[in-house]
Amino acid sequence: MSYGSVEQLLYDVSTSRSHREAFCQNPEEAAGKYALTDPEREMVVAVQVEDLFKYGINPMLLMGFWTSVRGPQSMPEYLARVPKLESRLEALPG
Amino acid sequence: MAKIVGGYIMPHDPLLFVNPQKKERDHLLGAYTLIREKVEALGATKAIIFGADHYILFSPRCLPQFLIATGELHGPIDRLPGVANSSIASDPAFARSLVDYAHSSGFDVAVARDLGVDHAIGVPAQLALPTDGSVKTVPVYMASGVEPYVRLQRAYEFGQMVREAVAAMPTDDRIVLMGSGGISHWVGTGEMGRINPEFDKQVLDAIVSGDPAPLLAMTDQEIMRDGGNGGMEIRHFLAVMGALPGGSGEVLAYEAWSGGVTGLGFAEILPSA
Repeated sequence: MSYGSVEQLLYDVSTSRSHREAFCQNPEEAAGKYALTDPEREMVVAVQVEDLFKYGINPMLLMGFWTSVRGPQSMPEYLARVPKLESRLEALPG
Repeated sequence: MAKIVGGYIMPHDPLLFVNPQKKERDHLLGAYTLIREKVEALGATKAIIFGADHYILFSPRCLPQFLIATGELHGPIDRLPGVANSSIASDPAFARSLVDYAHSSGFDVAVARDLGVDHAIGVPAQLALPTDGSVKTVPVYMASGVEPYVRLQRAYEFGQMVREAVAAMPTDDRIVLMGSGGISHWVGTGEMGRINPEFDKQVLDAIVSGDPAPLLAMTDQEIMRDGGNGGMEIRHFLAVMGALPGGSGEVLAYEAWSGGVTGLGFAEILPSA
């Protein structure tokens, strides 16, 4: 489990043009520079926002990653796919 | 002796500036102008602005609970139509004195010696302060957008510490405080676009009454449920309330604006007599 590395990759792609361009050109190679597990790498490379959300990634960071890779015009697709916050709250104890 | 002359809360919803649906918004933008005029009328010289990083400035490698910028400022670095990314007047010596007082009070704040702020600080600084640089900005970032979150009680106590720090300053500064944040809003989640006016009213009622107890009694889970992950920004309002105990509040504008994703609340808190 390398949750922090996943968030670092998403942060880098969201905030750095060079990282964004590298990821968009070759996601596998870009992701290979981070210490990710195989399931983590698959979620990131395929931009699986449903799974990344369920994994606990910060929603603001996830949205920033999505729009960096897919473009702001793709927000309707993002919102159709990303789970609701209440699903996380229901998973909490108590 | 320096003194706090007023407190304000205001939103920083980027969609208010992007306005993709071309909704009427002049009355909301006018609320920033109204606050700027009030700040000018108060003769303010400094503005301490409480805001949250939106996972733009601080990376997973370093996530401060509290951070005060003590050097040169510019922003907002995230491009917003009508809000220039330009220099923001600062006073490094004043900011440093606040850091020193915080440390002596048990708040081990981090510092940024040079900072491009995001819209949480940039929107209030560019729109609600005089444009001539006469009011110097001190940004205070709180962990309200990325966990582990600052505790609500600690945010309130931070405001109390700011009040004590200002009272101890030997200058003649007149200081306004600004809590920057939307009220209910869900950011990057499936609920995005939902606004909860009931939650917004609960928060604004507490601000108007000057009683922080209803806000301090909330759990983070309740805030997330009723106010969304963006609702965690009420910490910034609590900091202002902590610095102005017993202050009388007034709502300057509120709207669950259909062009955005946030309950937009503007309020003023004046010091108790």
